[in-house]
Amino acid sequence: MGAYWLHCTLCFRAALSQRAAAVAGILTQLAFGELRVQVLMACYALGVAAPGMSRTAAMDYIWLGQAFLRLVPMRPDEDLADAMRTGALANDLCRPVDAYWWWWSRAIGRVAAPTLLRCVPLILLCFALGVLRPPQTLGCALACLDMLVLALLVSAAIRVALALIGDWSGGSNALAILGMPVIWMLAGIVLPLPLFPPQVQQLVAILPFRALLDSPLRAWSGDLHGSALGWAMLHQVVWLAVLVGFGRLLTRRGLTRLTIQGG
Amino acid sequence: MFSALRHDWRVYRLAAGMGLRAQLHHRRAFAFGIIAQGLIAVTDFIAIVILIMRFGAIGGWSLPQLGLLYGLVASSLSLALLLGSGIGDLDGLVRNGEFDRIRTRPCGSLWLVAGSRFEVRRLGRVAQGLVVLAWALWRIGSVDAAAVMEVAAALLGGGALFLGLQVIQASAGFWFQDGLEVFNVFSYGGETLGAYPLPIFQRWLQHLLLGVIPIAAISYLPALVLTHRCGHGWPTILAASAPLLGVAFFGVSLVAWRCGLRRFGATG
Amino acid sequence: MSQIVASALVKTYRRRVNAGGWRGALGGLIASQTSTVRAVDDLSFSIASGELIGFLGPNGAGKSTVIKLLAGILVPDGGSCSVSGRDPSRDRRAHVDAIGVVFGQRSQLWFDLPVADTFELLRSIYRRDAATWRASRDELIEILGIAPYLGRPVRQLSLGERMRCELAAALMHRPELLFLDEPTIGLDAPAKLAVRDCLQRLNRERGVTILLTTHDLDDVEALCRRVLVINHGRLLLDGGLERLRAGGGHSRLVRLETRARVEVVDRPGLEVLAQEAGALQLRVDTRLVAIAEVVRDLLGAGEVIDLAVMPPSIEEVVASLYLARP
Repeated sequence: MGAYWLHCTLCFRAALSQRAAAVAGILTQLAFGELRVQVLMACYALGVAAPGMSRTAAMDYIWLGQAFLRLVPMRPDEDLADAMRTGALANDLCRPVDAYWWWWSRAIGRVAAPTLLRCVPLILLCFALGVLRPPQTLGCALACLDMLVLALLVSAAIRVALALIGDWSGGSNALAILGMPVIWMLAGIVLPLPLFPPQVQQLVAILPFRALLDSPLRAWSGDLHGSALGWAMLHQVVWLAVLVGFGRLLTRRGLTRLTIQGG
Repeated sequence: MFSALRHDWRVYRLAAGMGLRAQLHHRRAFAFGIIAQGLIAVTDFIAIVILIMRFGAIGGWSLPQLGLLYGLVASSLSLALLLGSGIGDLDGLVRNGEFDRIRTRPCGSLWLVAGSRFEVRRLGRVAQGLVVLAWALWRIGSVDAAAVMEVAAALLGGGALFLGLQVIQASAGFWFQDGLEVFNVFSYGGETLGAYPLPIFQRWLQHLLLGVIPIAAISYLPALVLTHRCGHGWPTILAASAPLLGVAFFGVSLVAWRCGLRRFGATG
Repeated sequence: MSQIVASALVKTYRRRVNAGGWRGALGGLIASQTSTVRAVDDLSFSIASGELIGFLGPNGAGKSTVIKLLAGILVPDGGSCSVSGRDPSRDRRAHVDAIGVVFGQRSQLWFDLPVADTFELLRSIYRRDAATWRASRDELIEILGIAPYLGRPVRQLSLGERMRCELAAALMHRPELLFLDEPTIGLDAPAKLAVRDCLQRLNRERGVTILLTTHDLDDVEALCRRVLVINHGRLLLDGGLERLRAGGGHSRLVRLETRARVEVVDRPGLEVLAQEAGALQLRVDTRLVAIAEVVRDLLGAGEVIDLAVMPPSIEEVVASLYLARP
């Protein structure tokens, strides 16, 4: 257990060194946030029908979504995909550790660092500019934090799973290209999920992607409370279990019929 | 100078053709990739549809009219991404030494970089943009020769504009290895912005989209002409020649490329 | 008439240095230090047209940087170089039209397509007229024996076959100057011989100037009459092959075969390289102790079956040059 935690922190530290990327990321997120906010605000101002989500709530949602953007997996775990392609996977398998926990702990570190590097300055900036409202109660803040941690674990699990699927089916690149815009849509980055048509929202609510952003964001704004909060957390936990289980299954199946290329 | 240009263009065509042929060998992945890219890119338009479903109209523009805007800007971006496939991968070329090799050829380096790969699956993205564009034109009722010419001019200018953005991004890669994602704001962000009518944005953003990175010039202005809204104070001629701004922007990007090459020679 | 003139060439790189641990990672967030490395440090040499030069040096010595400077890929930070009267980076297109480059680690052949397709692309790039191109192509195909491989995708060829096609690709436009960066790395013996043979023919028959970077000293001995040895960006040796051999003049290798284990008396100038039950290998520095003395002691120390005294191999000479502090 200690080895995995250490591994996680090592990868976290390594990812912390990406300063320039973080600064660029913050600028990018600011620009995209501003962009999406302007489009949405124009819709609210000039639109005709009733929205289903208040103006300020929509603005908060978009800015928080940009702050925590890194939680949404954009492609399969790069380290794992590279290792599979180059055959360096053999190194991981020669270690006296469980392969899946090893990969998952690395993915966690690799997601946590960029997320932290970006979300803290971004949220502070948003507070300063007055475009974001803080959580209303301490309970909201704590609930949001809990769900963010769970979201982090789910995100790492998705990345590892995508890499595992991609390789065992021999076309990880295709999956990576496919995944991104669809996942972004389903996670609520392109448009806040509450704006989707109600029937579509029900469908999207089952998928794991809303557990990444939508749930924590709604906890922040107080939209989720009481039993709804409990259900959302359960949704996160259940998907975490499913994804980890799926990943472990793939790992075990893969290890028995492994083909290491190259070298 | 023109003979050098013709030479470079011929080399680019050959190189891109080779890239295409190499991918044709994997037929299933080829077909799958194209279809997939098309389906994926359509999610951008789906977002617009959802917004219309919620809000009715946006800034007074109906769905087909918005489809026109989207079709113009998405097709332009996709064309630029397709033709300049290699440019987006410049940092990979530098890292694996391929760019050194390119610098040992008596040929314009940018052409060789652009032709170094040809992502055929991006054809799916182009097709998707063109399909939405065609649908929008048909729904609006602008299918005469003048409209087609206007669309062609807009796509030319738009393609040049987005190619220019890619070149600037690649040139920046000679200085910064990390953090080039900022430029996505201009290309993908620009695509998002270009799909909406200009007046809905705040003043400063409108000026940006007209004067600095003239995305409005290659989508909104041509759309004004095509939807016969030119009474808004923009004479038809001006709107019709707006795509020239896109080509001018590309020219500016070439300056950045030259600076980038000099930087490469200094640091390698 | 010198074809290549390098004078006081300097090229520096800046590298970022980060400390380890938490302090390093968090400190790196705020500011990081850079160190300057002189990859090429005041290098001067000149090469005449038609020479076949070996370019030696350990990894990281600056060989690739010099090749890139001469090819025009990099611009020197100090000093100058000229090739056939041109500044490589200023007159890039003209300069590059007359040179060929083979990077051993990085092929210029398109991986998924037949070799012939790459040749077609090259014809378009180098703009030679059809007749000249065809003549050159056929000649190279014949010299290198690659006719059976032309239609096969490069990924299906073995390393040796690939390297021969690579050479053909680099020479098809009839360059006056050829840079080779580790061309025989990973090749088996027949392939190496084919490559060497081709290079020799080119140099002798067509007068192509060849600059060969290699770690394989057999290549050097077979092909080059002159070598340049560099380390830490500085020129350690510029001279004929005999000078290189002579540079090991004060070192001798002594091989001994005995019936039982022999104890060697420790003395300055004597270095035990290997010692097993009945075999012994020594390096002797003849500046510090005479060979005759060493042999006399050994013969007296035990029952000797066989004794051999040999000059050092080129490898050892070069290795000792590498280790020499500039």
